Amino acid sequence: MGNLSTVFKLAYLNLRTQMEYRVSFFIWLGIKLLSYGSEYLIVWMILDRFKGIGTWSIPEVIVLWAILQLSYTLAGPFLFHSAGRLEQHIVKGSLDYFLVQPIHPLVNLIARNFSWTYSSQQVMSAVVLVIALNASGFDWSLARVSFLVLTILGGISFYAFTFLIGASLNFRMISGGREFGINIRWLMEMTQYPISIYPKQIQAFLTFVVPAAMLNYYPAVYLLDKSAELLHPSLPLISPLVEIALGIIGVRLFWKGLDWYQSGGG
Amino acid sequence: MIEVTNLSKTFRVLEGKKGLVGAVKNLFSRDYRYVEAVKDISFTVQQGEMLGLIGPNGAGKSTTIKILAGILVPTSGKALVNGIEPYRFRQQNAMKVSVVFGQRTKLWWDLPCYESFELHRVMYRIPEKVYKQNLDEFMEFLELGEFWNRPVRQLSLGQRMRAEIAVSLLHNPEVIYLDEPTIGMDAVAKERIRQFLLNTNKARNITLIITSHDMADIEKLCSRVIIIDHGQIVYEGDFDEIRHRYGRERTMVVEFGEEYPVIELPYGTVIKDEGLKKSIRFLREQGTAIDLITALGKHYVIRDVSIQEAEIESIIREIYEVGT
Repeated sequence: MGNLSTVFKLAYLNLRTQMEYRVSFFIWLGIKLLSYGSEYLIVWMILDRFKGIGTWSIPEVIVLWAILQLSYTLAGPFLFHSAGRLEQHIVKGSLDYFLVQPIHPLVNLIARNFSWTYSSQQVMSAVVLVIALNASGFDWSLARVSFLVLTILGGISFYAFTFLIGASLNFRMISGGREFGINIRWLMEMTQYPISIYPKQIQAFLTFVVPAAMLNYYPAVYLLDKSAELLHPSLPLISPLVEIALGIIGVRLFWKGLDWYQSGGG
Repeated sequence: MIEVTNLSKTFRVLEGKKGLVGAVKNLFSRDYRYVEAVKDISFTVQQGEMLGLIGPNGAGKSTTIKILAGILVPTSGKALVNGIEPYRFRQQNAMKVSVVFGQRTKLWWDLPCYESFELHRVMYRIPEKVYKQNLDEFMEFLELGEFWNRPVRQLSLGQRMRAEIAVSLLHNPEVIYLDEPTIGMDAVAKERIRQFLLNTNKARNITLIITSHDMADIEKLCSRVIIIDHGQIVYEGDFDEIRHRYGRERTMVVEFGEEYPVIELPYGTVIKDEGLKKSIRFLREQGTAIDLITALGKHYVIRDVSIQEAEIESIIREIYEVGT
């Protein structure tokens, strides 16, 4: 697998570059750990003051939140640095070189901008998820655990989708795609809480327009055996598949976007 | 080898409105202007040929190269390189070609030079034996050893370009595209790059397509040139013919020792008057530079003289005037 060794080589060179600025590398790692830890603490403290939200207990709400966070931190190393860099690669013209190298430009972009500073958050999110699941009385059967894995994969795929849409917008307008990605993420903060607390219109929006609720809410309904009033009974089971499909659509859009790429200068 | 038929590329450019009000308006309505960078051009290049693409800024040289390299997708028409459309089969194309942009780098900026070579070896799956053989050769001719362990950001422009070209040739490409490879370099560094490219072309029968503003690059390297202006081919043929047919204009810059309001010239005209320094343009058939200087020296005090090479712009002007 020649491509795989290229990916590792690119990621290694990227790490070496980051280590060239060693102080800033470790400061970043520290800042992320700190900001992330305090975020957990705040959510825990706020939720602690309530008995729960609607029919959802505190641990169950934390499950929702931890699924969101774990997907985010697993997608993060691949996507978020790349999203920021893509704009620079386009403006500076270095993207041109990606298109004359024998490796998929998307893989190239991601591998050379792989971020190593998410590891602490990944571990933290995973631990919180396991604790919250246990506290919610999660049944650790093979079926449910596989579904949980599928859910996380769906979550990563959804974040990838937002990144890829932003990227293909970048090819058309040179800049602004990244903001699109960030804004959609802001919207997704709504799904930190069970969407059953929102009016039906908003629920529909988060299901059919921006299917952010399919990332955590619907899968959690199945995982935790919640009896919830649903817009459609099949939603919990198909949600991860919809999210994965979105990721695939995102990759297609990226390819299409490349045809629009106009390259800088000259 | 390379076959270009009726190739066109139109860019869509956002016409931004100015000022704060304009910026807000831009958000809602976008006016686009369409720029035809390349218009219906056709040409072919044989294996092992060295072709120069020349033309003024914005003529469409870089766009043509980017389409050939597979970076840009043409609006219409077709380019075939080694039998495939490079922009449709980018990865397949990449294994057989290389591109060097004078103003961009493919080397890792913050890392020692050799890391970029290592990456290239892995990425192009170059067999150890081929890699070593090529590297030894480039090390010798381009003297990469003197900066092999230095971070790329610390290299001079000339050193960086030596490394850039060497890394681009590691996987034995059949074609190499060079877009302004000598830009910003001093004369010695330029000459070194040219000599290396000439040798490489001879030794490996590699096809070389080069754009440059420096006519000396083209003159020393290319057997055939294509002149592009406003996206169209205005001349195609060998370089010597251009010189014979079009290199008629000479520009001489004379620095006088005293202020002269009017200069009487036996031939030619003053095209630029900067006080003591005056640029005089004349045609080859009117007389030689030596005669002009001798004639001027009889009446005026002359401090310094330099003769400018025919620029691409003036050659194109002549092509329009004379016709092909």
